[in-house]
Amino acid sequence: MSIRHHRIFDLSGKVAVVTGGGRGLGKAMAAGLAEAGAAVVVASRTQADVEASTAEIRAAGGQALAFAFDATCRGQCRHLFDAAIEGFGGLDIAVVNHGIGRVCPAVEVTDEALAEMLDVNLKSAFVVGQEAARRMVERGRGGAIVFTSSTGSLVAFDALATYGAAKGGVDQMTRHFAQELAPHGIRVNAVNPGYMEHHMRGASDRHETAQMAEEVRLTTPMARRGRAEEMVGPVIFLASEAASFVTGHVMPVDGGYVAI
Amino acid sequence: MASSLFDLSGRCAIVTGAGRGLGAAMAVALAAAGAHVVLAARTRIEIDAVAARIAATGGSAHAATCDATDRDQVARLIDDTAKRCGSLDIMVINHGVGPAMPLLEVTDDDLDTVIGVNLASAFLCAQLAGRRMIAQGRGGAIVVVSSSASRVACPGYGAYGASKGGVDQMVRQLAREWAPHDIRVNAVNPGYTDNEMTGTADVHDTPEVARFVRRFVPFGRRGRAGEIAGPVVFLVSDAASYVTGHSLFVDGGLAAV
Repeated sequence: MSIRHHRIFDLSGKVAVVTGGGRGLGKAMAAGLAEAGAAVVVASRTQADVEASTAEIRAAGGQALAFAFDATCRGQCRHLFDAAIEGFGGLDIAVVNHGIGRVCPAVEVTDEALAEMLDVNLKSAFVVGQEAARRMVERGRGGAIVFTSSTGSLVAFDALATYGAAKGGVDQMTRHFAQELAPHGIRVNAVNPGYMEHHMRGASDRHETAQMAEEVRLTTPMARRGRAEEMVGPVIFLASEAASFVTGHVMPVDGGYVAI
Repeated sequence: MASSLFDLSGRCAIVTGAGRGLGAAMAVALAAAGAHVVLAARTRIEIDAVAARIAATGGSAHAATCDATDRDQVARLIDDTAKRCGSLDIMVINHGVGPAMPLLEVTDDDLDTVIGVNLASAFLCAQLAGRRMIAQGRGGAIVVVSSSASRVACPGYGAYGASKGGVDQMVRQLAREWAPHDIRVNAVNPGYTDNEMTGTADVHDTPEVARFVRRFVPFGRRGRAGEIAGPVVFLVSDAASYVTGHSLFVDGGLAAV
């Protein structure tokens, strides 16, 4: 039995937008949503990445459309959702997944670094979520929004103060969006990846060391990093009818990291 | 890949408290996802009816009478399941009682009942299931049904909330201890639902509770049993392969506000 038969996880006929969909976790999420039946608009800054991502989805028999955009520009965020509605005739699911990673001790953080982090990981997540919500409210057919947060929103990691502050904001924004949008039948949740095999732009140096491998073994009960594909199930679940009474929830996908 | 993520074909699941309400809905959903489901509860006639419902839709299930507060009976349930199915892959610990009353009126007997049924017997079910899964050496998934009352103070649920707070922490502890055995342990935390637990009917359907739901649940309504079942299927499936030690709130936003 496949998820197409198990209809509560089926996304056939749904239209999804995934930001940061050109690589890493977002690319896996976009492919997973398409395999679950959704038509997916794959969005990121880099044209070549979103085109490669959509080509793979189409090759696997899915429906996808590439959209290169700057998530920190409101006008371009508007165009993104207009493109989804024009291209696929609706908007049911928005996965707000774009983001950057920066590693820097808190006392050394500059104003520029702080502004960049909050602009990309918090403010633009807000704007993308807001533009998605506006269209879902207008259309009056409900919807599901999933923010990619981080375990860095819940617990402290060394030299991730700005990142953690932004992601803490995303978690609380998730609860606020959920509360305000519930009357419109729009559910809003977050997934919070822990240590993943895929590293964000700007965080590779920190992650690819023997010391970090040992750290993962010691601090993650499952004693391994998560694979990008392991984000797919949680996102499909939260976007689907199976989660029809789940909103304002923050879900670590972290091999048990925050439980201990 | 995604097409098999939620598929439970070939797996054997026990659901306690499977005779009605949330447990019956969970059993039906697990069977629909392909699992063979062992329906455990004290009342034979109820689990027989659920087994018939599952069989009628082409699913696979059998009923097993069991008092989940009795260690010997739970041990026998798990032995019989492993003999009949070859293995135990999924344990859903759902039985519970929900006496709601003001804290000042809780007696020692009330406290013994709510802690004994909701926490101690959940622990023993998890422990015996975990032992079996470790001995089998092929991993597994355990879900314990907790409540939004584990985190949110809901009127009248003081003793109940204490038992469920214990369940959430037990889940984190077991997740940590059994991760090396590839056993994932999570909780689902229902909020206000259409189904009443044993002992809650007279306090569940009051105008006060209806007002509380409208005021504090962003969705402004109770959840349906089927809406708690989907999250259980997710948590026990490969879709949640990197999720452990988590309490998944299925509460229409109650815990977020």
